[in-house]
Amino acid sequence: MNPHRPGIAAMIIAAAASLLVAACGTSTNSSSGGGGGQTTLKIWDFSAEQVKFHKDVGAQFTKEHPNIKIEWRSINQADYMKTLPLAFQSNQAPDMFYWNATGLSELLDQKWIRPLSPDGTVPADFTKRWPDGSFLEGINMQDGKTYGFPFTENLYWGSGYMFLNKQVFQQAGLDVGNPPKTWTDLKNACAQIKAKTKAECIAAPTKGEDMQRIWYALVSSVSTDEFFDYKTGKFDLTEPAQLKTFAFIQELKKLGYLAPGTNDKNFSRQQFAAGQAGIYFDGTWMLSVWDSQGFSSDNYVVAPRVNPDEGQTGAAGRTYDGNKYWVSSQTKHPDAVWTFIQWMTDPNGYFVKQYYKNAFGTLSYVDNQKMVTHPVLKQIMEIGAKPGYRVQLPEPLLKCPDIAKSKAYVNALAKSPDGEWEAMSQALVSGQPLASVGAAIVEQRQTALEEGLKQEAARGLKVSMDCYTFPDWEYTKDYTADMYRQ
Amino acid sequence: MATITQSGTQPGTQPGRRSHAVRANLIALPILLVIGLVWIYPFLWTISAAFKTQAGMFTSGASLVPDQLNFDNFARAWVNAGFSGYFFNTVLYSVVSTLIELVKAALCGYVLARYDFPGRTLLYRMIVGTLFIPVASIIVPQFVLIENLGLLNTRAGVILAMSGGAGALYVLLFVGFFSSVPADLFEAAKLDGAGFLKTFRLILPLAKPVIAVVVIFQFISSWNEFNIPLVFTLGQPDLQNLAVGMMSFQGEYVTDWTGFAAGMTISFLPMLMIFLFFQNYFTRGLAGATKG
Amino acid sequence: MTTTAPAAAPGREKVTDRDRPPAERVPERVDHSRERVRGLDRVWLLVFLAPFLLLYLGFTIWPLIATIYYSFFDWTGIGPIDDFVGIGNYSSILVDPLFWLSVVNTLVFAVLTTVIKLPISLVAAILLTRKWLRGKRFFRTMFFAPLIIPVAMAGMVFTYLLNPSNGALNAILRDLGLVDQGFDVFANRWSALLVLVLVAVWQIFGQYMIYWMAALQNVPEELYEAAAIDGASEWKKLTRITLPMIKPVAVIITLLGLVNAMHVFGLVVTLTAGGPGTSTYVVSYFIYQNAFGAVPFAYGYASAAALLFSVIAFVLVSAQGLAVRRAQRLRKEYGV
Repeated sequence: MNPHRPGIAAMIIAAAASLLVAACGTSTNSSSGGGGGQTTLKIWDFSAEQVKFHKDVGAQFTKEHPNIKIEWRSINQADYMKTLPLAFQSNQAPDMFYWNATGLSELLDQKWIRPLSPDGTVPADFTKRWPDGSFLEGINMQDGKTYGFPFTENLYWGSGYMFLNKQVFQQAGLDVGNPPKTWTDLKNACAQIKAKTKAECIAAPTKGEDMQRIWYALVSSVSTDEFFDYKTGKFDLTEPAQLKTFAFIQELKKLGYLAPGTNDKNFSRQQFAAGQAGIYFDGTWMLSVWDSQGFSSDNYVVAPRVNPDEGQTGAAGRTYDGNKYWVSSQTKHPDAVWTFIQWMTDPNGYFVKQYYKNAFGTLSYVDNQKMVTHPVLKQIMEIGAKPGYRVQLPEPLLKCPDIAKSKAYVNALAKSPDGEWEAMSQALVSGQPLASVGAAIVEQRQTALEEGLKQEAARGLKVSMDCYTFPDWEYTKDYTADMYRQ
Repeated sequence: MATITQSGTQPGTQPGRRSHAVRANLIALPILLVIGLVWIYPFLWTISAAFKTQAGMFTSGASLVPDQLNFDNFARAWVNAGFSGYFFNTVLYSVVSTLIELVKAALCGYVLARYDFPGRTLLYRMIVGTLFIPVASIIVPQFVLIENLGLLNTRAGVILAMSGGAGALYVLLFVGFFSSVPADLFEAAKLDGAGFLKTFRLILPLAKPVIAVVVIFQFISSWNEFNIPLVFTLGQPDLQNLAVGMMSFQGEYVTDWTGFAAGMTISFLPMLMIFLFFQNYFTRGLAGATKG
Repeated sequence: MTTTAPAAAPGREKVTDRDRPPAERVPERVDHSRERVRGLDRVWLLVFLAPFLLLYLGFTIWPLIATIYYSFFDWTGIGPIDDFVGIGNYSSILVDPLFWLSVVNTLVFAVLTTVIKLPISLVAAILLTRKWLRGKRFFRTMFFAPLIIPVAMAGMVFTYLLNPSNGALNAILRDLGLVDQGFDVFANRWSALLVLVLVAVWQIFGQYMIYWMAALQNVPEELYEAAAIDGASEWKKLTRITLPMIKPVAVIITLLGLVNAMHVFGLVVTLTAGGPGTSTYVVSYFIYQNAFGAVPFAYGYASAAALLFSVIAFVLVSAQGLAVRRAQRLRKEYGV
């Protein structure tokens, strides 16, 4: 199983190591998990801002279940992607882990996960906590066993909201109650902010993938906000709708309405919070981010994104990406993990109460209308719930079950993972049209996907480009479950 | 300030030279001071950020004066980054790995510089050649090795990995040094009847400047080492060091820069002490020893 | 002038190794001052080599072999290594324009930083070891300080200081009337690279200053004394004694400078993230993006890139070393 053999070098090292260790007197401390009969559950994720919350819920859980201790760790995202694979390789994976980079089929393929409950099935009173249709074969179930559960909901939670700084708007003589609604409105508001205040208009990060903040917000009013268009089955960076949106961003930049500099998201957020910019585009998480920085929610308002003057022709996409916590295949305490999962998904439990108290976001097993008290989160829900603001995207897996075994799509994305953002950043600073700068990455991804699918089809998988094409879908409508049956 | 008083009372300093020195100082000091202040400005900015609020850090621009004397950041660093707990590990890793690096590099560098043996040239070339491998690319095999040794999640494993990688650079420094030690010193030692070990013991003290270099750099790099403690203590987080702890300020959605600055400010003192102490070796060095 | 012996101390008859031109003592050359070991000394030799060799085998050679092995597989870094692709990784890297862009950027960065940091840190080291200078400790600590800042923090500080809307640099430039609008240094490949170079020099400067100081300690005091008796000027002492004497160490310091600069990573991540576009990609960043940037990881591909670059760098640096040595030999032959 293990492909690596220690080899001679390793054996020599072993001898030297024991010598050195003895000589230096460093003890090898390896006894873990003290007291008799107590189980320690290790949970890993990359949410540093929730460290205190995790400690808190861990303590409460242990109070209620004295024989289970929770050890919740946050590693920053970039290192997480590197360390989790190593942890699995060396049999020291946590009992439960956060993962949203790949879906169920890859996780099963890598043998990283096991079903949520010890016997694989979950009782009805568990699934009842979620809205109907939350547990789907291929998404979080496989062969009747349940492997995952939606954590964050996807109706409100996501990017594509516009934040307005009250102070800047006031100084500019603008009314935050009447936010810009169209591209022209936005330009007018910017002109006024530039003329009447010292502030910049839009704090838009453009460094690397941070470009997504403004991009998602603008493009989702025009088309789909994925770089892959499920209607046509094409990578779409250079399609007319995308080019039009990008040309608008270029125009904003030329007019001096984007804050100067190639900034990252941290910078732009602070620029907005410091009253040095009037407008910032980003997602639901911003309130807890700004709260943690001492910029309270009475200083800004949330508004819907702006549409092109001729009206909205697109929407933000909702995917089945709510499955975030998984049970590790290497856990030795499946019972304890299952106990914990049931505890944390109790809609009226301590976990949920604290989560909402901190306003971290909206969970999918909670009645958000009832639970949300934070005024800004309420605003966000009102906006996100509007029909056509955020729509359910088609899911190839539900059309062709064999997609679960296909790697063509992830492989197409794996090469130059930031390719689209890099092309846009290139086009933005150089002033070149996106059509020519972005052509290469689109071509590369499209070829990789088509070729990949062909090869897999040749090996007997029932996959084709057809699985990724949904001509009957409209950009502003949900692709509902019944539409797959045709 | 031994060096300064020493320069004043240097035997054989003529009065004319002394006024020459004063003039040189008058020219050099202001220039150095201006350059130096510009030089450490970003450094001071970081320290002052440790006292600022997030908003204050952003709006204060170039100013070094904190918007308020805010000690919350230090409190947060102490708790979040687990300074209280990780401090011991950090000191242990740095001290032991520095010792190992120093011993192995000095011994190997000495032999490579002074003796001819079969495979010497090959070994030397290999050391130089392997310098070019990007470090990031070999952490997985290193991990596999430590795992096979059964040293994952032990302090010994972390220390071994820390002192395993960078050594080639230091060996080269020692080779460079020892091969420029005058040959008559060795002859003299031999005439006195000193054997292999005795000769080494006589020559080693001459290498103080190189020793100081190795100590300073290995100490600082192990103090700040991030990848190794992170990866090699996955299953045992309480064995981590400060650098890993400090990364907990970087989250999925937000980075706590002022907390990070505070953590840095706390952890920077021990390194400064090491530097202040070991830089003495640069001023003493070889001068007296060669005559003896 | 037919002899290159620069520091012939007057009144000395015995020509020792020290009086020979340093170029002849460049350490990798086998010279006759190096002894052969006999008898019991052989055991000591092994004992001396053992600690380094063991760790070197374990943590450098074995990882190197493993990396070579991985580079022939299409491996994600997870699970069994069974998808043998032969030289497939290499042939696709050779035609990957981003890899070559990264190589060029890395080399430009390495050469520029080395050319800048080595001379100025040498000047600083010479100045800060002068006997007459006051406050040496203070100034040394000053120039050393940036080395202590974690790279992530340094990147953040400079992002703030260089920002066109409210950064300190632009504020100063504007106050001086040099620019009237914010200048975005990260919007252009060359200015972004230049900033990377300058920040890297700023951060690493202290390290090279200390290397040089250690090297300067290597110059025997009596040479200066002898020169002083001869009435040699400071400049003469510098060019005739100091510089030739530190040459063997200088070769190594230059090598270290180049090699360390080629591994630049953290600053690129925090300052430019490879941008604008992909124009400031360096090799380590390229490797990192492939090895850990997106799932599925292309670990085999990254391994191949790492090896290929190591070879390129090694060849270039040794070629440069050979050229220098050849030039030195020619100079000696023609007595220039």
